[in-house]
Amino acid sequence: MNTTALAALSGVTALAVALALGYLARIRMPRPPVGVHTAGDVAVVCVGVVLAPLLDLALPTPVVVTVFGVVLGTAVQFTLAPLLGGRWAWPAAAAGIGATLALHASPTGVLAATDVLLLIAVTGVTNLWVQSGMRAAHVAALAGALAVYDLVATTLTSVTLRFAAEVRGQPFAPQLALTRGALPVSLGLGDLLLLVLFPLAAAKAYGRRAALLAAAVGLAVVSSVSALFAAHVLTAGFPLLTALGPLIVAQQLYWRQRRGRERTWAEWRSGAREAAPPPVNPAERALRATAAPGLPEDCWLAVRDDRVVGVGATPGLARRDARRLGRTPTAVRQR
Amino acid sequence: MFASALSQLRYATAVLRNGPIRPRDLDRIARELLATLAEFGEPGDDTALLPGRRAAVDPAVRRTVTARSLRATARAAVRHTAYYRQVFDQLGLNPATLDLSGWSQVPVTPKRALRSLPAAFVSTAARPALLALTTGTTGAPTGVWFSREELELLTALSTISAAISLGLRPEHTVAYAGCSRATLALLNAEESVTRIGAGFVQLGTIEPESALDRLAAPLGLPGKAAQITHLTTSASYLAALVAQAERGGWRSEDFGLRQISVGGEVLSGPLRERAAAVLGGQVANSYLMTELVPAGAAPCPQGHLHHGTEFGHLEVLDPQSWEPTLPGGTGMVVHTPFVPYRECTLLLRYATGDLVRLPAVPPDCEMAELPATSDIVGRWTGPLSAALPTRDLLDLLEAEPDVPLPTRYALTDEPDGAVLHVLVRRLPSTTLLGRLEDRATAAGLPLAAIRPYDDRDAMPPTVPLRADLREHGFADLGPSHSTRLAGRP
Ligand SMILES: [Zn+2]
Repeated sequence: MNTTALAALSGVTALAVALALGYLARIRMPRPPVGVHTAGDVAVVCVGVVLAPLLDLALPTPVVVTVFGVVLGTAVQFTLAPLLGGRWAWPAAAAGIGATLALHASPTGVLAATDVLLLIAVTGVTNLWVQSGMRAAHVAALAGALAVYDLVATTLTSVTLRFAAEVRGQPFAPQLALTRGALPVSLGLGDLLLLVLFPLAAAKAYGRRAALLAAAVGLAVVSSVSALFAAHVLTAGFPLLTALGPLIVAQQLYWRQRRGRERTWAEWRSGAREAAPPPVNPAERALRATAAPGLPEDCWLAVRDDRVVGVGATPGLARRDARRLGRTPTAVRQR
Repeated sequence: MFASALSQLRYATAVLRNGPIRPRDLDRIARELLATLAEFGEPGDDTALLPGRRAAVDPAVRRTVTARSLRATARAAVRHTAYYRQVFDQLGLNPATLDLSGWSQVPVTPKRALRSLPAAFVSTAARPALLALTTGTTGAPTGVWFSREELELLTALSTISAAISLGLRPEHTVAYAGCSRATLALLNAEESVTRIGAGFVQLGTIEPESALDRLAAPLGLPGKAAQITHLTTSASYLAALVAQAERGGWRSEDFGLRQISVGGEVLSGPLRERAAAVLGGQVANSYLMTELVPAGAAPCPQGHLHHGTEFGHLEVLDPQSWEPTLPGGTGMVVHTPFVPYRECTLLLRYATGDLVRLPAVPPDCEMAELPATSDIVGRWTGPLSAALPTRDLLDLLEAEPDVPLPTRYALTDEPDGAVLHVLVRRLPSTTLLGRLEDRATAAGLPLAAIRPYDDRDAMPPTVPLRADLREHGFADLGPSHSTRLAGRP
């Protein structure tokens, strides 16, 4: 295999992750009034990933090219829409699709154009999911499921290889290929999606360090596999997700353990460094503060920060007493 | 996201086809809204697309949808209720051929008809589950039957409305200071508030001093605002709270109120200002009536009441001729709540008794596309109630600190003209009377005289107030009762 292309594959992966993270930091995609990514949506994605190659193998080539073209064009459109405005995103996406088709005489041109469209689409799709509330836990679940699937489809059966052979050289083929030929240097669309998706979800859920670690782990997996191909240890297709999946799950477990829970989108936007800590319990302080000896009996005591700040015959009057002294109590307790 | 989109699609399809709405779909939309708020802190774009929040609709489309909804409601009413089958038979009306221009052929349904036999309005196709009794100020209460499905649908709609319009969030706590017998309002408020994750407390209509104390008391809970943040009550009970707070030296800093929602009675401008001053928060009134739910109306910043068009059809009619009221005039709210939101008690052109004014010029506010009226200005009891509506009298009286709250007044028709009898703090009250007369003249109120009293028993019967439906505590029952209870084994 082409060693330069294998090295470049890591570079392209890094570029894809950087594009998506940059997009996440700057661009807000529109979202529906109601709706947040749920575990059910992860299941829908899984089913899609499993069914897509099987359906494509069963359908004639023109249909497959059309379906991929429409899906890719739509994804490019909604990725560009927040950047260019809705009016220019459709013409831009159509131009990209048209250019790819127009290059049909040049296999390298088709390959390059498809790669550019895929990079844009992956940026948009991963952002769409994370920006609609997909959690790191969802990505980890997806990664776990696809790790098993990839092993079955790539190593135990020939689904992936037959699918790759079928779509090779086609415009809009769902693989980011850097070379042509019988065994091209390429990443499957599913691999690329997860390589980009987890750093994004980790950035939202756990912050910059988790995102950088996730990106680094992904790159390390791609580079290691490339190195094994360069050294001719590997020669046929390799189930990348079977290697990447468990590492994503492990990162999720690590961060979850460390941080307690994921940040919500709102917490991330407000700049919270970690998920909000459990709020202090005013009742605990009220119990401590009102237990001191020498306090008046048969009345209500208003408490703020371990101190009694007001007294009254009723809870409301105790608070009012504190207010008159310029204090805002957090609890009242009867003595 | 995927499942929620399916529910929203199924809901929209059911609405467009007037088909049965699956409470489960609305329920899921409401729950997804809460999940969306938990993740994002706010709903996404276009909340106007949510159930009950339908915003700008092309007028021609709305007319078509309204005509179809009215026809579907009339068809269901004639097929399944004893009352409307008889009415349509006697008039030889066919509900299937009704359109908007022919809608006035359907006779107005007086409140009396519903009160006298609620069963005649219950659809034989529905399973009645809850009998909601309104706190009738005139003798027997009005009973409205609701099915279990309707209750679930109402809860989902109130949840959406509380989360979006009221901005209710889990850190809030809502106090309900209304009569416990107003079952539907109470159940609905409790269920939707707690679904959002906010706190709920039913205070009831207790001694105002006790209610103020509960509103002021710190809750001492982690994750909740320090005090009660929202209060739901009637206008007259709010007046009682304001009177007690002003007298008892309470200040708005004693409370943590963000919003006071008032419903069921006429709210005057001065009371709204006095309540905001002494209790704090924003005072907002809305229009929800047991007979008409989920149809209702919400205020806009310009002071109109805007009536939603999704759940029912509003008409404002002259209370005597039942002809449409002209712009600028005063008329009665006559309402038809639509199937499929309603399936148990079906009502066509229900005369609510509530009086409103129509704006003289078309409104240009942000909710201008929805039918607009004034706030409720009074209840129809005869021509005098329309000439001198409650709202005008309360605006006059409640601006005066020397008129005790809640305002006790009566209006009588005497040979010289209308006379306003009002309870004041002390007699003689020459300066107060002079001020009232000047302001009444300036406001153009057709009053022949204003008569002050310092003894309520000497007055003609005053207007009934919800604040008088007081719920007692043992302390209110006197020492003998408390002792007897304490002496129990
Ligand atoms: Zn308005």
